[in-house]
Amino acid sequence: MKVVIPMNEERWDFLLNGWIDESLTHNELADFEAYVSENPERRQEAESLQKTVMMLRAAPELDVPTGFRARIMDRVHEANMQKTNVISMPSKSKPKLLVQHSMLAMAAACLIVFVSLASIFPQVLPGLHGLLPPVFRANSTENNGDAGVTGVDDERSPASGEPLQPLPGEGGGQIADYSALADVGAGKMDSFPRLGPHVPKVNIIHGEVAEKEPTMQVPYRWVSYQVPDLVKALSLVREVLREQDGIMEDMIEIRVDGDPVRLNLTVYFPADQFSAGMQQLNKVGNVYDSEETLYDRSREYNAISEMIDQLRIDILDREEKLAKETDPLSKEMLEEDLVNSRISLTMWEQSKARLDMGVTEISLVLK
Amino acid sequence: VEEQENQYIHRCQQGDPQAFEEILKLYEKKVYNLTYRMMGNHEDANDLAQEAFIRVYQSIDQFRGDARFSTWLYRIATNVCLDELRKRSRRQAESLDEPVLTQDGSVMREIPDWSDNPEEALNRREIQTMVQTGIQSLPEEQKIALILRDLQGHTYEEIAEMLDISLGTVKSRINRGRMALKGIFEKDRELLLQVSRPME
Repeated sequence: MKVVIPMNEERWDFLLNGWIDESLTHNELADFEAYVSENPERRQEAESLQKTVMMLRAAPELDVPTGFRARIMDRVHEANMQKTNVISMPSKSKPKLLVQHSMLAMAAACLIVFVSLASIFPQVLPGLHGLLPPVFRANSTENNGDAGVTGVDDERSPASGEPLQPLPGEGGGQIADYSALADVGAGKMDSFPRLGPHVPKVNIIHGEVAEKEPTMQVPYRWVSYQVPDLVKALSLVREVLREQDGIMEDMIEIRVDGDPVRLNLTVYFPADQFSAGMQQLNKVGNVYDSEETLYDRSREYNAISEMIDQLRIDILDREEKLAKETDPLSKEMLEEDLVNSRISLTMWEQSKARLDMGVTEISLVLK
Repeated sequence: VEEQENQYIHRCQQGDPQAFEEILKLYEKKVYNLTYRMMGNHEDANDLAQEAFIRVYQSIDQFRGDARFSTWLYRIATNVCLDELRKRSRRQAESLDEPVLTQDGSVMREIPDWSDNPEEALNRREIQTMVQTGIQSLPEEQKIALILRDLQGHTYEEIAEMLDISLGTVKSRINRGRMALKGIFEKDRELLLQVSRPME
């Protein structure tokens, strides 16, 4: 007697991928075919996925670049030579002192870089930042309120684990009018100061911070939402990610803290997406409270600026190589890389332009 | 072939560079394609494929034959790519449907509309570009699983061994990767139609 397994999403995924991979048993294939014949939308989904995989499999295999094998063999021979030299070196002539000095130097360099990085990126390296002596911490935490992605609550609820308190003048936990807030928020965005290319960059030269981190504070709107349940809030994140242009994964943060346990959801919206974003948020919660405050974007701005600079250097370098290259295959590869670099450059420039527009931060609070 | 490969490995473990060159001949194309798909450009692919082979050479003494040699080798190549990607820890690029601002105004970055000329759309380079663009938009975990399965043709079991993850995880990553790519490729239905085969 044939056992009928009920069709759910898990079963469907199994059959669908098995069908694509041609790994279904006779019975499974029969189940699959019966199911798609009764469900035209599933049939369409299967055909579409099949085409996708066929597209992947149709992609031609690339040839290795000219001289690829020879370069590896050169390195192999080089490695062999070094191995031979080390083995043949008399033990008493081994440069032990030099090794010790090198290790000390490396340790010192690591410490300096560690201190520099932690003072520049306290949010990226929060653990490290806590280890810094006060002299370094002071510089890196001034202007705070910002705290990048992870410092959402710093201005209003600095004590970690404390329940969020209503903002002054906002009526202690009353549900505010969402639509009015959205309008106000969108309006405020238009008047945000622009962060231009005048912003000085932070460079690390020989392990020291060459320039003090600039102050770049941008007003943003902080909105707190009361969310009925966690599942809805999480599904909202997915919706926002899928449906909102300009929202990247790292612009959304979910954090559970407080006592009683609370879910904080923070989404950064580019100014022109604010109203649409609010509509999304309104599907799962109501405005709880909000505040306009300042947000320091300098770290992101500088990181993106550095990325852009590096890409420009890469592009110039590749253009130069391309001009000198005579081998047609290598030339073709260099051209492809150049196109990729140019696309990346455009993307990063766009990200930078988005920072220029200012952002809106929205926070959901689950009670 | 397997016996010959074993001989090369054995000779290589004895320190014979010529044997390593033979191994290189067998796998260079596969490894290069893997690193290219992972990194998205030839320059990085070249560097990382070289790096992978050097690591293979340096650690071939440790290969005991518990797994297939190819699995062991691809695992090294995969780790080289993932290490590099994590090291860079670049922010994830925007989704493909976002407009790109250029000097000439706002344009769509994604796959161009080739529906006027489907034959041309099928040529080698365009499929290459489309596949590469789609793959690059996937998260690393899905990307590597999909490359190993649908571009390189490894079995689920081999991929689980290469990536040191469970079979269930491999299936789930491939499934999610395929679904994500489907969404991307569906934006150009005309092109998809050209590579489709009718459902039996």
